[in-house]
Amino acid sequence: MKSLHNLPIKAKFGIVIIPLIMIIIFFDIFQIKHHYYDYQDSNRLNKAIVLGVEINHVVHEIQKERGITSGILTTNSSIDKFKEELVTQRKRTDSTLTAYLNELKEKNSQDLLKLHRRDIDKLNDQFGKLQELRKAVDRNSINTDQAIEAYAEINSIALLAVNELIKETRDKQVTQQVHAMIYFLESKELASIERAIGTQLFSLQDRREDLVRRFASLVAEQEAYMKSFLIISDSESESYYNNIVEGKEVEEVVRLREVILSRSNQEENPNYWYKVITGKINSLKKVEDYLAETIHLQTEIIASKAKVGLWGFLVLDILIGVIALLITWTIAVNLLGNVKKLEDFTRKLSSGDLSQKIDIESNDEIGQYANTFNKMVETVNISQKETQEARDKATEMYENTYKQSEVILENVQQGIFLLDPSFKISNQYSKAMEVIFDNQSIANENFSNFMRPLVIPRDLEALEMFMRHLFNEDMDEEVVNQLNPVEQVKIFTDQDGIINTKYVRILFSRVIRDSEIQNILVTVSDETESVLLQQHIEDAEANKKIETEQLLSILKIDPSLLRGFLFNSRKGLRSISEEFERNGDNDMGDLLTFTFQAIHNIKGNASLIGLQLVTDKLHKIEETITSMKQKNVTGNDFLSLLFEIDELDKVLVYMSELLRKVADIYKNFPTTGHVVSNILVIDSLEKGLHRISKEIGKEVNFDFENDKNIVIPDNYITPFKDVMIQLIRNSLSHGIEPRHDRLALNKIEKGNISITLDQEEENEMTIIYFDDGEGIDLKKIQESAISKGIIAHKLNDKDKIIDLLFHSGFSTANQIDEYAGRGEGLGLVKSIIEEHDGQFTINSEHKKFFEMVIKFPLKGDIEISNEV
Amino acid sequence: MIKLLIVDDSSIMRRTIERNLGHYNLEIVGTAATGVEALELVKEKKPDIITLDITMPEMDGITCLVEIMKIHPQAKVMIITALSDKLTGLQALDKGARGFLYKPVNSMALSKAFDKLLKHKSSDGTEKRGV
Amino acid sequence: MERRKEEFEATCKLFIDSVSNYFKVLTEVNSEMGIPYLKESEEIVLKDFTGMIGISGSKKGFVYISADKTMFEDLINIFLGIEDASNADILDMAGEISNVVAGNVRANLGANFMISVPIVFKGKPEELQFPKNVSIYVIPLKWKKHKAFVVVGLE
Repeated sequence: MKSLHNLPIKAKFGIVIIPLIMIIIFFDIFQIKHHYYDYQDSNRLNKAIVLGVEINHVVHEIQKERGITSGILTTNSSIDKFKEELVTQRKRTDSTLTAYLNELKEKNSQDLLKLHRRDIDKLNDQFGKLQELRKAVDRNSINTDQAIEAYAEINSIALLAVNELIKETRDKQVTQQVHAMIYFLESKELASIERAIGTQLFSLQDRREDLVRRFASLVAEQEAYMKSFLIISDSESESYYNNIVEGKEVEEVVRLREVILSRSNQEENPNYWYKVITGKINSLKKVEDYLAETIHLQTEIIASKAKVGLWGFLVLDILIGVIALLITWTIAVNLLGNVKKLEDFTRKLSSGDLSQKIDIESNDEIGQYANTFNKMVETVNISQKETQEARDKATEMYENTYKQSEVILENVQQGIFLLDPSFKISNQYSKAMEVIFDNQSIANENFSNFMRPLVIPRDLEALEMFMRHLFNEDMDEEVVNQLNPVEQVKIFTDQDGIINTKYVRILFSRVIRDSEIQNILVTVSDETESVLLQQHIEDAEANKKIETEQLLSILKIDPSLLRGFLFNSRKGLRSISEEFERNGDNDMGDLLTFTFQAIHNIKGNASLIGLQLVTDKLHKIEETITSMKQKNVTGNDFLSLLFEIDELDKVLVYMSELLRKVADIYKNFPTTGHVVSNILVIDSLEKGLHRISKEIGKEVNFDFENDKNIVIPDNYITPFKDVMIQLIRNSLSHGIEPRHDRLALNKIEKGNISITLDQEEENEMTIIYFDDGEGIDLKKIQESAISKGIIAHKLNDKDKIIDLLFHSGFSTANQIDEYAGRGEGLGLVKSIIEEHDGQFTINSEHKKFFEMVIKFPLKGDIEISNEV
Repeated sequence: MIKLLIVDDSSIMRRTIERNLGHYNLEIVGTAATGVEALELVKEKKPDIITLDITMPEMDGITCLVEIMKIHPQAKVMIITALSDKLTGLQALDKGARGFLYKPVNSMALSKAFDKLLKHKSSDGTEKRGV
Repeated sequence: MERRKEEFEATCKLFIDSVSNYFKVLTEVNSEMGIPYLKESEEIVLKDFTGMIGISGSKKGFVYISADKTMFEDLINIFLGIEDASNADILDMAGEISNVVAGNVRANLGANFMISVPIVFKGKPEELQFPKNVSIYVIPLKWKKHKAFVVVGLE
């Protein structure tokens, strides 16, 4: 069993395939043999029939000879006619005998002879006895009975031989026919004996009883054979027989038989008997020939069929065999080929060659094995690669330890190199050099030449001097290094035609060997924050663009308003610086608060006239202040704030200049005195109000009443406007409720803000500001003030509570924006009014209204306009 | 004894230097407020060491240095200046200055610089190559 | 805007650092900076003695250090150990400080930042003219108990 396991695949294949092929061949041989036997059998039968026919001919002639012989012997007379006839008959018999013998000699009869040697020999023996029998007849040494008996003996053997020859056939139909024919031949033989006996009986005077009895049994036997023949023969043979064996001769034979069997002594001519019965026998002979012919034909058909069958099978068999072999071959070759490939591949693998891939185009197990192999090889390859990489890395690290300096030069961020006394750069330099200087030709360059295109001539001149002193041993290194001109230097590198500006720091130190200055070690570091710088430049450019655009927007603003705004704003800004100067020693928080209020006021005005740029800048300053408030500030922090203020002032100056330049355009629209200023102020307040209300999303009606046509004097225009702006902003962010709140309070949807000018006394101007908003919530104010730590306890006096509103830093708004302010709005109002010696009172009912009545003293006459 | 000459347009500075170098074994052979004065004193006193300011009215320090080296090449000149322009400093070295100090200079820095200068001088007796 | 602001702050820082360095190196007492403010050229303020340096080149303008007499006296006392400094000494001192401060700033701003020799004066001379259209930043300084200004006026 184990040796079977160890066999190569090829041999295993053989073991499986060869028995299969043998079985097929065996089966084929069996089939071929069967077909061949069929063919041979038919052939043999054919020949047997031919031979049998020859024998029958002989038998037939012997039967005639017997009949004649019996006639001669019985009459015991030498009737010439009989004798003559006998001689002729004997010749005929001999000729058929010769024909038979010739047939026997035929080449293709040999097989048959071999098979029936015994029967044929016996037959030939009997035929040999014929001559002796004839001699005995001639000598009359034999009686009729004996003669008939002898002839019958010969024929009996002959018929037996025929029987033996033809009976062995494989075809059932033919077999049946053969048997029918044997019966027929037996019957015919008996008919022939009947002829002889009958001839004898009619020849005798006295019809011998034993002969008659014999005759009767002959007839009976003959009829029985014939009946058997008719039963088993086919219908065609039967009808042929019925057609042929009939007529007068047959009837006469029947009549003459009756004559004999009735034992009457009725005279009958034996010749007549002989004649009619011979006629009948001849008819039988015809039937016999027909039968032989039929069988012969049938066997020939079978033989040819067998032949075709044999060849057909052979051809088909070969065809199938060839195809089967071909398929088997192909599969075997493919399979063995793949196995071979696999074998070669694995052999290569085992020898360490992993570069190969196995290519088997098949999905069978071998194909799948191949795939698995490929994957395996891939995996092995990857892991081998990793191992290789790791090994490389290890090697690298190993080398690193020995080439550390080189690695440092490769990887260090700084440019590092050595200078020799002729200022030549060393062969080895750090990689960073190439990056910093955007230059690859560094080695062996003269450093001063190297730097020439990068720095301004003055610096280069200094560098050359500096290097010279570095190599001068009389010079103290420290002293010289104090004068390093490129300690921080701006260089201009050229990269593909793009000039880059970089700031580099180059440091030098002497390398002393044997108390001599051998080299100078130079380190270069790039200190450019180029990205940042670039960003700043871009930012600056973008800002500049916005500023220019927004500055141009001032052209849309009424020049007189703008002029007033600019003047007042600059004054406001200046007041901040003045405050710093005056009260620089004061608490910094107070200074910031002051600054915030001043900025906030200016912002209100800027926002009102729609000067967005300035508003934004002011808002930013507010943010700066707010962030400053939250930390411990020092004087230094103020510099930044001051710069922003100065920048804003510069913008305002620029705007003033711009305004002057465009003044000519407005010359055609002169501003005539106070009335116009008044109208403009109210107009701008209304515009500002609507703009803010739109942005906040509260709809408000604005009403300005001036029934007495009071004109606000110049000196009050600015405070009036400043106060009104703060109040409007306050109303919009705190006072006027959102729409749904108003509806819930049964108020009209839109809020109302009104400003009324009045003059109750000659030296006083009254301004009434009103809104129908939420009014003052005393409770909320108190709570807010307590939570902010402005007051400690609740207050009882209503006025004192209202006063809290004006406390700097108090605001009830939840978030800071441009409009809601930072809790400075009302504080500002208060300080403006007081600054102008004004007075104010506040009337309010919670959830109903807010009203502020401001009175300003009038110096001199108030102008009452006559214009409408 | 080592002879020292101080040249600075600021009398405060002159006096400060003088005061700070007091503990050295030095003979201050003079102080000068201008380059012209300085040259006179160099001719006359042949000082070993000279401190020299660069930003001075009339004759600037570099010109003065050149002139000093013409008259008295052995002098060791130490530049003490606030003008921290490197090229100017290097030019001074080129013209023969041996030391360089930036203002403001405190006594410690001054002492250190002088120590170096004096050490150099003492080792000057031995022959030096390639000077 | 941001870049200019940074540039401005850097320049101011150079002056402030230079001054505070001066005090620190020479007196070992740190100075303190107060809240700066802006001034118009016509309303500039000066203390008893002033040392001023003109600036030309890439930036034009001036820087001066102005302080009361006592501060200079105090400095001179530290440097020379004398109590009775003359007016000339004080002027000399003022010039020296501004010279050093300007010289140091120049080192950082490069060769295009040219400085003049110091101009020193007592009080406010009639003929003194400051350039117009420059923003003048007044940086108050406190050293010991003395108050001084470093005033930077740059284009």
